[in-house]
Amino acid sequence: MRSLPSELKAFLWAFSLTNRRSTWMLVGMVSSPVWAIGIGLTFAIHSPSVITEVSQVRALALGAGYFVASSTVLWNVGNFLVQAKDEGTLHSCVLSKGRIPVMMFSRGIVSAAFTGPALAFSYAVVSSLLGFTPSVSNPLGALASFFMLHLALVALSMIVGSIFLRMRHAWIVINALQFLLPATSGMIPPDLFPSDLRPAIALSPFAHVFEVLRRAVVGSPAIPTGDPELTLTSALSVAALIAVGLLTLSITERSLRRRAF
Amino acid sequence: MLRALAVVIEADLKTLLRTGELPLMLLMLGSFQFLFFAIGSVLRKEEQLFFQLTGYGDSVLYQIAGMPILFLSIGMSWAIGQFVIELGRGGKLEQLQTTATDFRVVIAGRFIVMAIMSLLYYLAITVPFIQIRAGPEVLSHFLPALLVLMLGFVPIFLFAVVVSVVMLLARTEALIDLVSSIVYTFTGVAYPITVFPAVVQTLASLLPQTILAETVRNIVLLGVLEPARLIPFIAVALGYGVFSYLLYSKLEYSVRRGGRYEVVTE
Amino acid sequence: MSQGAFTRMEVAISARGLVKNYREGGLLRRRTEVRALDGLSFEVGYGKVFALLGPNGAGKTTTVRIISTLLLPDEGEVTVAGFNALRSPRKVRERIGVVLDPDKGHFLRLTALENLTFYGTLQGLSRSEARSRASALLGEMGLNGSENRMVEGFSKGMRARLAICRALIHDPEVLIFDEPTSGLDPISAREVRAKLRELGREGKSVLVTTHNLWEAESVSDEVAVVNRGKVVAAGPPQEVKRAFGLKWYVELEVEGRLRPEELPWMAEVAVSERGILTLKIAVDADPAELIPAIVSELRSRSLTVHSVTVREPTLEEAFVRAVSGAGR
Ligand SMILES: Nc1ncnc2c1ncn2[C@@H]1O[C@H](COP(=O)(O)OP(=O)(O)OP(=O)(O)O)[C@@H](O)[C@H]1O
Ligand SMILES: [Mg+2]
Repeated sequence: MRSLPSELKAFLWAFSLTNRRSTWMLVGMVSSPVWAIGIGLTFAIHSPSVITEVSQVRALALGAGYFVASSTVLWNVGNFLVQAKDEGTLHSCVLSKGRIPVMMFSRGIVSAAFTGPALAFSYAVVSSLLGFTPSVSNPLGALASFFMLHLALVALSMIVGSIFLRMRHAWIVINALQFLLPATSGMIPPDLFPSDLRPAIALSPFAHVFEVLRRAVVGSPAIPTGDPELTLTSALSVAALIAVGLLTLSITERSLRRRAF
Repeated sequence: MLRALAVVIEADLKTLLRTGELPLMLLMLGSFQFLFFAIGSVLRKEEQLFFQLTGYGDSVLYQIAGMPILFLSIGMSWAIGQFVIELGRGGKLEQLQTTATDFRVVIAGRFIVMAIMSLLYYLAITVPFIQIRAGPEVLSHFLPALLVLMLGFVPIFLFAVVVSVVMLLARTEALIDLVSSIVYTFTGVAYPITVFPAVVQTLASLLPQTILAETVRNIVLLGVLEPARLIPFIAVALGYGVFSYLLYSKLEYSVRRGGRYEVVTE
Repeated sequence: MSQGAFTRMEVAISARGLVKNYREGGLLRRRTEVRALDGLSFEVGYGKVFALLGPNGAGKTTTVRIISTLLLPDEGEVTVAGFNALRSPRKVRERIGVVLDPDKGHFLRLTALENLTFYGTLQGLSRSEARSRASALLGEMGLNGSENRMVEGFSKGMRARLAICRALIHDPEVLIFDEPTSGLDPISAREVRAKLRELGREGKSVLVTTHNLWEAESVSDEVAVVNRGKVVAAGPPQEVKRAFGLKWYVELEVEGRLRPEELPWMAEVAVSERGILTLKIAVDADPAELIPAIVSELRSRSLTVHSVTVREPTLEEAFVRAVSGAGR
């Protein structure tokens, strides 16, 4: 266990270099807000009056940013095990005493350096395009809740990453998931749903985590839960997700030894 | 020439079906279409406002009729891009240059395969969705719509060639993400481009998908085909024809000069 | 220290009775089992270069993966550098350097130096230690001009050499290479072989797999011929040859008159145009001492001897015999 900090440091260093040099990331900085505009307008157009009201527009813009963030984390972290296996770096890391849970966790941490700006940028671009200043009602809270949301996405990627490893066409599932996950947890402002469907959205743990961010940015609640309870359930959800993610990965690491990497 | 084309098409169809990637891709796009259909159906609607903006009464139908253009375009760019990249990776591009079969024949083969697949997709997935929501009266609109769609494959294919060549020259596969996002957002497949400032609208109309989406939607939902619409459409198609030809020649020239075309991933 | 413990320490790698079945198929396809290893055993002594030699599909890569802790066997025991590879994989990983696919396992968007520094720090070196060791290794492997280039621009041979650097970054006592020269041009392959021999001289224990017989013979102190998941012959290359009853050939070029039936021990006689005869004699052991006797025998029949050549049996013959003997 003494080697954990140095192992983390090694992974963080390597992944921040590779991510910084990745053309996907570079291109993603430009394409993210473009996707965000498209996704936001696709849902808003059903009730065009949405794009004329400030808090609705902010919720919409933030939801579009959420889509961008979840998509990025799923590709950059969730797909990483598959990619590392194909490129042989998974073997090399394991043979150099690297542990898969530590590797994936570091990958997730590093990806925040991309998802954070991409989310913020998407939020800013969509709100400004629709004619509103992209303000944030509680910047510090927003930053903190962004990290919580990001960790939840990383945890999900750690869980599904192990499953992707066993699939021949993981890209299809990632494509579907990057859309399904945020769509069922707040990407589309709940105001756009008919009132009897709104409670269903609140069922996903991701909806709670996203709601914390939403309150910090937009200011108004969409789920009828008090602030303290919401923060508590979200924090617990994230902690549980991370724990399950790490556990899944260490089980995967062991089963990989049995079934051949 | 025709024999070569037939051979190429047969081989391409076989490999695409055997790896299973293409049917899976179509399945995925189909489920996206279902998702947009389902989510659109449950969301709150303001039909009056929507009609004022677009001239159409139903926002869900509006999207179902437009989305296939996006999907076919992404599918085409993906297929052509993958193809060119694979050729470049295995050094096959250089090899093909030295054989009697013109690279253009091989690409044309891929185009025909993709066009067939796209038509099947449209008939099997889009048509039923529209039928369910719009009722039987739109049935007679599909034949002219399919004809225009087939005409539309040409500029969409040329657009895909341009994208692929640019990807090769820029040595990055990641561009496909940017292109997809632009086509999704600025071609009016899910909402009218009139929501954007005038400059953006002008630029958007240079993309072949913009005109195609609007024309096909007009035919399918309203039964209207204005021949005048086809003129800018053909002009854009010709523009892409010239552009892709010039780009292709540049690519060929670079290959001859010994450039390597290994597109970088990651 | 007991005698038993002492002899254990003499062995760098010990594999006993390895059995591995791969399961294929699953939900949609019929499940089948492929027996990759079928009771494979061998030992590699400290400071020895040991080659596992076998045809495609013999089970070499499977063996290497098990030895290097990446794969668990269904049965059998593996000890590497004094530790159990099945139960203490991390202890073993600290002491081995592995090259699996020579051109894989690098971060393409990191430079050669960054790659090695990264793997070095994962192994527990400090950043500066790892960097200076990496520089030195890159120099040794002839990559010093490219240390700050990203690996994505590297050729296959450069990647293979970088993979060897990666295996050596933490100065492990045991090295494991799976077909390190496959896909390399002759010059790069020669350099890699030279490196293997050098490592052996430095006292490292090296396990290398190959299907190239000549390569096994040229780099290793000991070989094991593997076929269908079993060792079918093992020992120093010379002994393996002897065990298979292989022949040495003595070839003589002579001039004169000769009737073949006069010399029944002659294996073959060929006549060239200008009356030069080529005689071939097969013997079971090294024929060095026999040669004077043969030459004087021929002289006594008034033949002129122009040249004498001795051809050693190659491992190739041993290999073909072992493999066909096992009923392939
Ligand atoms: N992951 C796997 N799943 C199923 N079967 C496998 C797997 N890996 C290897 N095999 C099978 O196990 C047997 C031994 O394979 P292995 O790769 O160990 O041979 P090898 O000696 O390294 O061959 P080569 O010289 O071709 O590299 C072969 O029959 C092979 O088909
Ligand atoms: Mg092998």
